[in-house]
Amino acid sequence: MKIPLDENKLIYMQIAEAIEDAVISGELNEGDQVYSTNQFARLYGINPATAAKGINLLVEEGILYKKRGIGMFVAEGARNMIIGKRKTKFIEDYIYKLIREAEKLNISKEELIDIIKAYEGGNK
Amino acid sequence: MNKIKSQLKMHYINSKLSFIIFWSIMLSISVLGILISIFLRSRGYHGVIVTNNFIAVVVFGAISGLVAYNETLPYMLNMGITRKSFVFGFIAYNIILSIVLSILFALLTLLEGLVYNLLGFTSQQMDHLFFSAFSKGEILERVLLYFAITLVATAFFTLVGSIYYKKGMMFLFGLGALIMLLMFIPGVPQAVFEALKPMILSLTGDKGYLLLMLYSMIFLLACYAIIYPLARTSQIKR
Amino acid sequence: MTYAVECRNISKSFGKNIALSDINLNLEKDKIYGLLGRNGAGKSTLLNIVTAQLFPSSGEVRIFGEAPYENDRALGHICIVKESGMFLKDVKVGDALDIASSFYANWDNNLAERLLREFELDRKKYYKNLSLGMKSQLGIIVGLASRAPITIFDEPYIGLDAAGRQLFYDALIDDYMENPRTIILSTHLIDEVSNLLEEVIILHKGTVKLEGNSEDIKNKAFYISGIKDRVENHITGKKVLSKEEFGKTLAVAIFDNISEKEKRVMEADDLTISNVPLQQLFIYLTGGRMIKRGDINE
Repeated sequence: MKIPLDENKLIYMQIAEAIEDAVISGELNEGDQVYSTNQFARLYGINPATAAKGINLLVEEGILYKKRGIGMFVAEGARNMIIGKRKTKFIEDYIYKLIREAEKLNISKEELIDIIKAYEGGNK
Repeated sequence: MNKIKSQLKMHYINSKLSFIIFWSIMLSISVLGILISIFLRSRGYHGVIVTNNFIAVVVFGAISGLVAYNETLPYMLNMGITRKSFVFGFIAYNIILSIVLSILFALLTLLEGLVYNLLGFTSQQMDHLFFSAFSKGEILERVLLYFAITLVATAFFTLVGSIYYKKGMMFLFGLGALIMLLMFIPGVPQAVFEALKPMILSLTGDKGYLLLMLYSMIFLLACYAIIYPLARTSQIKR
Repeated sequence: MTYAVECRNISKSFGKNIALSDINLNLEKDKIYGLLGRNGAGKSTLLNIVTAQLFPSSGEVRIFGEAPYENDRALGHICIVKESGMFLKDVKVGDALDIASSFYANWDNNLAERLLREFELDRKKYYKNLSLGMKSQLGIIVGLASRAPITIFDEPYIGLDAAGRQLFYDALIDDYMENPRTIILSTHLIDEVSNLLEEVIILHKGTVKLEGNSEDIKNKAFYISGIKDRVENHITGKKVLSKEEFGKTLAVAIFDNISEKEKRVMEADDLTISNVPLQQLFIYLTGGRMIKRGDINE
């Protein structure tokens, strides 16, 4: 059985995200070994070079590191790095949109903060 | 050298089925011939023997060459064999095929002779048999004769096959028609005959069989000398 | 660097029909290449030329730096699996594999036997009595067991059902991982193999329409949809592959670069952006769209 992939997104990004998700959720802890490119290739039914691309992306960002001859491991502080990365993206995606939309509706930033504080929906 | 061996193995495996069928038919014909001879003898037709005919072997050899060339050339090209290697492999196949066919046919007629003898047919009657079974010295010569004829026929029809492969049916017919036309020009057939006469006469002499071998080999080489450039410029067909 | 396969200005005509026109390709070793094209694009012609079975009208091929014509060493690196012309009719399956084993230096008999069992082929059956699918399977077995440094599969699965094809893909990737080699997979069943390809070559009407790393290519192909004016604002100057309007919405497919910043700006404008799958990109690039009413009015 192969793990399905979204054909409308880059494969290697999905591999990278899957690893990041596993780190955040605690499935993968810092210091744990990550699947090899071949294992990913088999799991997802993809070319190992594509899996390598995703893994290398995380190595470049410092989330994973390579132990020669053994494999890829989750780096110290990876979890925080990922959360930080996602926070940045959150800000870039959602906050940007929120503020732009608010501007169009003439809602000031102060008003926006009050609205958020008073808002009843959400999980917390 | 490796590739020649591999090709021979391939030719062997490829020929197996048609070989078995052919020799089964030949055997059946021999058996049928014996039965008919017995029947005719009982009806009073003495001096009649129905035997197998060497022509069948020649035809088989010729067709095998022609078909095998057309079938195995694209197959070998697909396997990454060079055309040069293919032609050499085919020469080896040609020679070995002729040896095997001639030996097998000789054995068949020997067997026929044995059976007829056992059934009480006289050697006079068996004269019709292309070969009588009993003079050992003659057997070798006869096998050589079979071999030469089969070799030459197979080589020639392989050449025909190679022309067909490269140029197609129309060209082949055209060529054949051209040659036939040439034969109608007054003086040409006689000239060809005169040119071949010394060669044919030399065969009747002392060293007849040796020369037969020589001429057949020369003919073989001549055929393949033409096949070689044809093969080298042949491609896979659509 | 020495490429595994080089095509230098390859052209091929059959009489007046131009099958290939000035093909230039450099294939690196140990990668899986997809040679994609519609029927009649010239894929098989190109592959036959690469393997010296067909002569180009002009141009040259190099296999690890050597010309393959009449070259034992160069040809010895290659195994090509084709739809037909791969086997002799009056030969049994077992014998066919036996013959193949003597022509490929790296032949792995264990692999051949294992695949024979997996595909459930009867080694005693004559090739001519096999179904189309079984013939394909036999070809695939030869291709994989040959372990040739350059292995070419030219639409190797005619008659093979989806399950059979999946068996092939799995076996291919598995063996490739353990024994890396250059693999060229020529096909028009793109969505099935797109995840397996590292590099992609799109051939159309005898020319190379596109080539490159499959993920890089995917990163240049986007669907963008949203309110018509906003979409059109953002795609000025970009190469558009297709446009479709539904009322006030416009959906386009473009083949161009979009930076992360541009993406954010577009999304802020309520545009939806996603990558175009290879299969669809292929259809756009090779003009395979269906004619819709909107097109006529354009």
